[in-house]
Amino acid sequence: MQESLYSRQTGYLIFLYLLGSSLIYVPESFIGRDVWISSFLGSILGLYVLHLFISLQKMFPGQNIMQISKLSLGTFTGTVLNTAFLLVILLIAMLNLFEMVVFLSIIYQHIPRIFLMLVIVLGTSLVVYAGITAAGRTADLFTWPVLVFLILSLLILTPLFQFPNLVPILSQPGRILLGAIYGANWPYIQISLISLILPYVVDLREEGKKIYHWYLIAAGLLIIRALFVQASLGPNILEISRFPFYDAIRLVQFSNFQRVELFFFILFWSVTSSVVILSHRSMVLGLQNFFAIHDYRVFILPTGFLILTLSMYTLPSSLQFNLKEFNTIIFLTLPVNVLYPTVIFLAARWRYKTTPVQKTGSIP
Amino acid sequence: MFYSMLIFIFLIVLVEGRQTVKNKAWKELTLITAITLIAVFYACDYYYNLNFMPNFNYLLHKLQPAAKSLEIFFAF
Repeated sequence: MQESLYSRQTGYLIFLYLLGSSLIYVPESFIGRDVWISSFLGSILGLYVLHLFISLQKMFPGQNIMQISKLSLGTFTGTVLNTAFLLVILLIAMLNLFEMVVFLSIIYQHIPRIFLMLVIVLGTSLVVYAGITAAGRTADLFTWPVLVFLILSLLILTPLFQFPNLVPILSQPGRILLGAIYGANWPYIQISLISLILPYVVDLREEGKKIYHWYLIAAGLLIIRALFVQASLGPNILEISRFPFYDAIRLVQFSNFQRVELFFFILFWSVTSSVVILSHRSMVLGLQNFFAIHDYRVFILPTGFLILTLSMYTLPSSLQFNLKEFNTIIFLTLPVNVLYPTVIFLAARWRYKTTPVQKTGSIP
Repeated sequence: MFYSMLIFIFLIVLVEGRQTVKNKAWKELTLITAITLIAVFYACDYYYNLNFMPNFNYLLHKLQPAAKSLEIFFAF
């Protein structure tokens, strides 16, 4: 059966990915102040990357990004760039699994990390086996409840909103730019993972703008979230907090009913699991495209196993990650995720300026 | 880690291995075996604490000075 997605569903997947990847973490929070401005600036770079991938897909309908890379840059250069992109996808998949498990370890404190990882990877493998069409339908079902829960979670933070925590604005412009770079790296440009499912989108040319709409909705919500979290926690706590949004919700109390954050567990669980699923799927599709294999399903379990072991091996502790690895990963993921589509786009524009691309219409 | 490795190997052989051999898809079988073997090596290395596999962490730690420089550059 031919698998397909609609632009609307792809937009939903981007929405779920962006929220799931950084909703509770607020990666740019280490700058303390003006986090929401950094988040806004970071989202512009993500929009640029998304636009490049969509434009490339429109130029080469039915071809996957790795084929486009080889067509535009030649086999050797294309393969080198594809290898770098594939390694970055693997790194992002490892990080997403690690971050999800670190968060779950707070709630399930007595369950070993390896067991949580095993359950998650086996679960995501099952979902990836269901196929891309099923992923689109699941996104159809999940997006609106997630949106409602998210708005609700922001509304319950309003009693904690303290305007003095937001001022002075623009007091350290350099720190804001630094936060914007880190904010762009995680989560905005990670949507490069979506490039691997774009060949399956059947109405990209007609309805492609819906993908941009959902990206902008997600970015807008993340900026508002950053604003609320900074106003609720204040810059000092925000700077040291591991899960600022979660910590902010934990401060909310309704008379004797405390643990309000558990009410939003469905929100955290659904968005973070969609991130792990999407990164696992992207890795599988990346391997399929790289080795030109007909059926991607053969890679699902081995890839899940590889992501699990590398995640355990490379990222042994949350503390070490915060101190040593968080600020260096950017040097690997940011250049590849930005330069990969940029170089391919420029090469494609230059090479096919006069010769129109044949529309194959076939999904790899 | 040891039990998760066994579970995965069992599932890979059961779900993918049999079908791939049956279809005589040798390219797929080679790739599955290669990926699984890499994962097995890393799992054994982690479980027995051998440190013989290349660790991606070393690269990340080597980039620490660059991260510091970036922070200093934007400290205004």
